[in-house]
Amino acid sequence: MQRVSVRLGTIFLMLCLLLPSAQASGLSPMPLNKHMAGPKPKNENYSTTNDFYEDESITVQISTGKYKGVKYTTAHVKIVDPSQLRAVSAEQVRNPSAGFSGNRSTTATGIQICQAVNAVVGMNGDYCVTDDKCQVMMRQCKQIRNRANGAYDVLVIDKNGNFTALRNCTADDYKAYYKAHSKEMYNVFCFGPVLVKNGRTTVGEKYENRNIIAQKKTQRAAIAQIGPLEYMLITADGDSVTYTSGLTVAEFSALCAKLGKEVREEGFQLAYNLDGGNSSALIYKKWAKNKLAYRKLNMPNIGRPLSDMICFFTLVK
Amino acid sequence: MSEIPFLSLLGTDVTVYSLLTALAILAAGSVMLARSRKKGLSARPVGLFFLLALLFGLLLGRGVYCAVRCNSVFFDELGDPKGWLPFFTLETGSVNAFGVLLGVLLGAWATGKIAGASPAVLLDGAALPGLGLFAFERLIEPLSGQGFGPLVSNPLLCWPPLSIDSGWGDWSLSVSFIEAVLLLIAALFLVKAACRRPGTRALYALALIAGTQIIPEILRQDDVLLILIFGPVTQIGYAVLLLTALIGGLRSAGKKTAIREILLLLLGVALIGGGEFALDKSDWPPLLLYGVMILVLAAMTWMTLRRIRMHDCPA
Repeated sequence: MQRVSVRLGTIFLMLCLLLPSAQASGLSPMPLNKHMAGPKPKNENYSTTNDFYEDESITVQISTGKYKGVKYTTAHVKIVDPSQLRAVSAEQVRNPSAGFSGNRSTTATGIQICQAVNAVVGMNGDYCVTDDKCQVMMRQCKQIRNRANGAYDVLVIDKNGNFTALRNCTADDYKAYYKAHSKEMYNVFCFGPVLVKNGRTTVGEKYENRNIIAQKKTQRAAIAQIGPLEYMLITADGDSVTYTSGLTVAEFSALCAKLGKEVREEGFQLAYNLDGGNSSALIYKKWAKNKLAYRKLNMPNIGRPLSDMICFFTLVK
Repeated sequence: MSEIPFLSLLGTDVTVYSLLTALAILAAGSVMLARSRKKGLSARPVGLFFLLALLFGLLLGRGVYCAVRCNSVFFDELGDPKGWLPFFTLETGSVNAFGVLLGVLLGAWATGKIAGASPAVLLDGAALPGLGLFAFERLIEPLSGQGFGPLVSNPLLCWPPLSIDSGWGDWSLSVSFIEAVLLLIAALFLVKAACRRPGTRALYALALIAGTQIIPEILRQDDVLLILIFGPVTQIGYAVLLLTALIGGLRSAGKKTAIREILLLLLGVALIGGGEFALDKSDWPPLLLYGVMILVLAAMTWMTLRRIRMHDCPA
């Protein structure tokens, strides 16, 4: 499985070389191994219909829909450089250069985090302060933690922005992968499971993982890679108190497969489940009363302070 | 604000925070010794208690921290063991307040066994200087980079020491300052409290620490120790201290009264836990939830203090 992923990664790397790069167009990539705020997105690049952002380096298309009676929200993102996809810590709210220590329980709202770092769009991460679920952690090229016990799928994002999944990753699996690929590794998340692989669902109806309340209906969040430097952030609404509305992981996987087919014939290359429930947060700037401000797009009245996010940035200064 | 190194000692950076804490511990010990001598107690058991409380306080405070954060303390970034040395070097994290308090209680017990002194009398002597030390430590906690809560934007709240300036234009509520002020108020109560039986002052101190610290701990957004994802270790520890203080006061009460009041306290703990759950999961107004939790905790603390007074001064 890992060899197939490496081969696919190599092909995509070659494809990436054919695409316009940030440097070719005069934009400066952000340093991969530093935590920092990005350039502030320009207000005029946000559409007044609140569903589109475009500049030279990034486009974001916001959509909503319903699946099995559950509202979902997506952000389809295209970037020109992998450095525009970044892991952001809640600690950056107080200090934009702060990194992930792996010890701190600092949290902040998604809106505060995106505002602090000037993200164009952001999604909650894997709630990295709790190492019982977030067992493996690498942020902006810095390896922080490995206590994988085989219970979770791990998502590796490499320095070209390509996704690789390590299924049911153990500590030894991760160490072996790290030793072979550490120079190419960029960010690593641990929550999962993998929802879609090469356009097909990978989660059966009977999939159960009590740690992520897989069989119950609740809010869900996922990040998917469509192609080179092209992604989708997906959230589904739900009720994480009574579990009477929302999607199970299997249903969410089916939704992701469907969404993938809508944007690309082959579907998503890989869709990965992130922390759901009240942690699920898709943050984007919206116009309201002639003022542009960060908003939570999914279930705006409910939210939990987050420890970390996956954000996309502009390179246009 | 992160820790500020003050000087280098034996190859280790001594920070302003750690230096002030050390000086405050010495001052608290001196006050404890002076007060004990005034009451006719021998210096030897008090001195031994000070040393054992310090030793056990550090060991248990560090022990609780390391037990909860064992993966980051004892294992490196790839999961390989680092040995036992990180326990002693404080290179990762610090000590937990509840663990320190446990250590002080253990120190009193150990002193009783070694020197034949009454642990209750020793703890009574330590109660007021201990509260003062705790309040001071909370006051200077921002120097260690900890003690902060949610961001605040209301200008009425954006001033030191009530809030901490991040240096980047944002202000965070200083939870440690709020906790320090509440501890000082608790110390005032303790000064005025008339205590007859040995151990009463110590029980009051335990109840007051728990009663003033449990709610502010909810606001912390710093290096909070959590178990089972959302369980705050220090808060749970304070609840245990409150229960201990109540049980101490119930020694002279009847069995039915004891069971009733313990159940009431546990109900209060459940209500506060429910309030925190609602804060996380529901869209109920946070101010309403905090108001209810404060009222419940106030009732629990009042019941405990009342029970301790009744034990101290039976009708």
